[in-house]
Amino acid sequence: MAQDKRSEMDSDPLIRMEGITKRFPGVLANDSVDLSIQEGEIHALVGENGAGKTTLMKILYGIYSKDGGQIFFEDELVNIEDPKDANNLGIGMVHQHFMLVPPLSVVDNITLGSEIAHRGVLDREEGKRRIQELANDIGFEIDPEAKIEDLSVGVRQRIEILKVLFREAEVLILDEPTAVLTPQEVESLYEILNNLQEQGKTIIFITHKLNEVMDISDRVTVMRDGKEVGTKEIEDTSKKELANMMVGREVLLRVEKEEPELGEELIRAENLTVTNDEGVELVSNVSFSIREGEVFGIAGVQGNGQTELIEALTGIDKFSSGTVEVQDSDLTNVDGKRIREEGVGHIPEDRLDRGMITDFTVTENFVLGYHTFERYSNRLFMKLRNMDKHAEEAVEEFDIKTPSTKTLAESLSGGNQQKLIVARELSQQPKLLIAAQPTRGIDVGAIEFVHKRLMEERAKGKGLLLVSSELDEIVSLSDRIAVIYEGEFTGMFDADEISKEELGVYMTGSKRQDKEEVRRKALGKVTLQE
Amino acid sequence: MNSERRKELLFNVLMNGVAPLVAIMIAFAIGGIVITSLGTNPFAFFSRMFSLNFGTLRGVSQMIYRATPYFFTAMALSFAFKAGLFNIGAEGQMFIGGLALAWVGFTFTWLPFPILFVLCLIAGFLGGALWGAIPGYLKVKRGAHEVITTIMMNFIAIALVQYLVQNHFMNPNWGIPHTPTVAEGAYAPSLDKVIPWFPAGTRANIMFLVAIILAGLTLVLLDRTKLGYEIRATGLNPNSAEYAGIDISSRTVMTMAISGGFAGMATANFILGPGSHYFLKSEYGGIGFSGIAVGLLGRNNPLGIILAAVLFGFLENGALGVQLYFPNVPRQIVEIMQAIILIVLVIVLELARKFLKRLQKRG
Repeated sequence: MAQDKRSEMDSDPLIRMEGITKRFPGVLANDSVDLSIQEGEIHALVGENGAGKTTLMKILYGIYSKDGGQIFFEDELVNIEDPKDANNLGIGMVHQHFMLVPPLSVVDNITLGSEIAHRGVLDREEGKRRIQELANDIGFEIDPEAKIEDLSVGVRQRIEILKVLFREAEVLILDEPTAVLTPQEVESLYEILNNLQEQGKTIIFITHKLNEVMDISDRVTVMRDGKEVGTKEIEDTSKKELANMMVGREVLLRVEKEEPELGEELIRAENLTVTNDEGVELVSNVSFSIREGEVFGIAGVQGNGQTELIEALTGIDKFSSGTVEVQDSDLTNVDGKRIREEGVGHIPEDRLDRGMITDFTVTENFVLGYHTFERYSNRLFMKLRNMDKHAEEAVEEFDIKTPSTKTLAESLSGGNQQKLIVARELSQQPKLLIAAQPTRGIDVGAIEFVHKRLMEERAKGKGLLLVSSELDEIVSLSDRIAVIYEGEFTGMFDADEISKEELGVYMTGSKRQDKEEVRRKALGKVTLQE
Repeated sequence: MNSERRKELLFNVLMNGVAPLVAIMIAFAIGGIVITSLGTNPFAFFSRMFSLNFGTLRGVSQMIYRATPYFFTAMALSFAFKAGLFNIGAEGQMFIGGLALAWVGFTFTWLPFPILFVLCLIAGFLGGALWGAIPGYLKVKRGAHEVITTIMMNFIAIALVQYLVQNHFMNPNWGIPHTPTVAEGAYAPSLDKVIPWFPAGTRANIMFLVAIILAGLTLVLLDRTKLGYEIRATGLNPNSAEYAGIDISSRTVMTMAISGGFAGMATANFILGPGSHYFLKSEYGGIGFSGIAVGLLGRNNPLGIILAAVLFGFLENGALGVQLYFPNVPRQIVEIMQAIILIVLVIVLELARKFLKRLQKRG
């Protein structure tokens, strides 16, 4: 497939990887993969988790050694043994997990390892000047003396990009650059990438989000199970086609949703406020009500109080005022154990740092939070046999790919870790499920699965409180959508009356509805009158 | 999947088997060089040491006696470690626990065996637990790192027991500061009373068995109980434990208390076992700190800790006996070797880790 494309290209490719093979114990991570990169293009590398994208790029960048195949740079056979070789060829990589030293300043982080010095004396001013210049070139402001720990994730990523440019890279590899960004930050990343392209840089970017591929790239290569399944010009392909190539079968990108069958009110939350230690309101006066069989979505840019709202609802944090009632039991500021006992499940937004303990086994993670329940423990002892049995059933039912239930959760892929959390929460048959970013960072197949399961719960008459920064997800799953902005609900809509674009306007705070009306609609009075 | 398991096995063998053995061998080699430089044949020296320890059941018995307290302080380290905490305060916890158990022993003198004996052990545990819980509480309430606070608490403990013994418990006419002797009801039976074929008249006592039983109970606690599940969860990831509705503050304090409790029982071997039957501070110095080395050498695994403690007992007991035969080798040679074991172990573990990482990268 790559060959007929090449004939259309005017120039020879800048980088040609041919027959790249990489074996890890028990896994063929790359199986004779071909990839060609044209100078000056933005080339997306897509595939599900574990498809071998990152491995391929780590081979190109010299972090991994290859077991077979050849790499050509400007038509010359090159041997890239370590990242230094890659840097010498002008190849730089921005890793998914940032490699910055938080207490050090921007300039120290960027120059680290390539310090400018005269006779052993560090020239920080020169470094600062060059960094400013580079930043200006690609169109953003930066304070070189700011400490990394004070900067947002989006800015940190720009620093990583500057770090690569500082080393005079012409080819930039970005490993899932948008995984950690808010929609606004994604927009400005796009701008930066476009500016870089205008300067003639070549960009390879790894992702599994198809929207991004369509938005930004010129060409796309799809990988599946360690093999390259095809390279396409962006104009000649569609999201649908790419998704099918990634998964290897027909994928439903749209969630199938039946008409809602609303039952009784499940949760009624009124005037919820969360304040931090400094007395600042992170959530202000939020009210809502969710009924059986209903999905209540909260849309908002990350950092507008969603996390605080959910953590207080689930007993991790506390409200400073307001009331939460779940079917006549007052659950305001009770602990997480009580909340679970009342039938409220919680899929936390941070899979690794809330949702599971990676050094625990699959079974141990399967009871996390429910370990005090009678079926899993008595006063003193854990009921190990019961735990194992239930975990095994869930692994089966939710198709979690793991060697056994005694495997440590850390060796599962991200998608399977998320499935494990979803399995845990759904297996307890909650009346109400609070799901925060339930599909963040997992691949298309797993997203489809999670969405399907959530919709099944809705059909069974369960309630769902969904928080997501993915607008597609909010719009396609929710029945009603509240927009949260700076800790307040600023808009309240029926899912079929609002477009994604308009939601975006509310999410950035450019527009807001009347406070009283939002409150009335969120508490469901309008629906009840009908 | 199979290769996954093979990798895990390789990891275990390297980290838990090969690394400690290499460290021990290198320590003996360096110790041998030092001994040679003192004009003594190291082979003769070590073989004498070996026969002193293993040549007779009496030797074995003495070795066990020396090993027992290390077993307790090493368990203190390992238990905290399993819960993600570094308890460097076993030394202080040992002193406080030791004085507490001696106090019960010489105060409630009318109580019969085994009631007084058991009460003494409980007092030792509680004394150490209190001293361990304070850093736990400071961590939870004030965010003070337990490494710093446990180290500081050591100095406070040392000064406190010194003060209490000299000013409150000691008869001023005694030359050496020590407490009154504990009552007979508190005596720990010597091992020959419970194991018939053991030689009589040595100081090895049932505290060794108490330690083994406690180690077994610890395993059960961590792996099978609800409390153990919560302690491990808190140690491995406090954020996730919090999500799971676990009271991480109370679990942290409890972990430090249990850990300190183990250390608090370490001196029962000396005070309650056959011997002088009083608390003599100068006799116990360093056992808490050496427990760190024993715990690390035993790779935080109960069986490993027994072996490591026995090794330390072997060196110490051997050093005492071997002086008669090789007077020009100071007994401090074993302290040098203990230190070398620890240093080399840390290096070897790091090398093994690097090696495994390279293996992974190569695939």
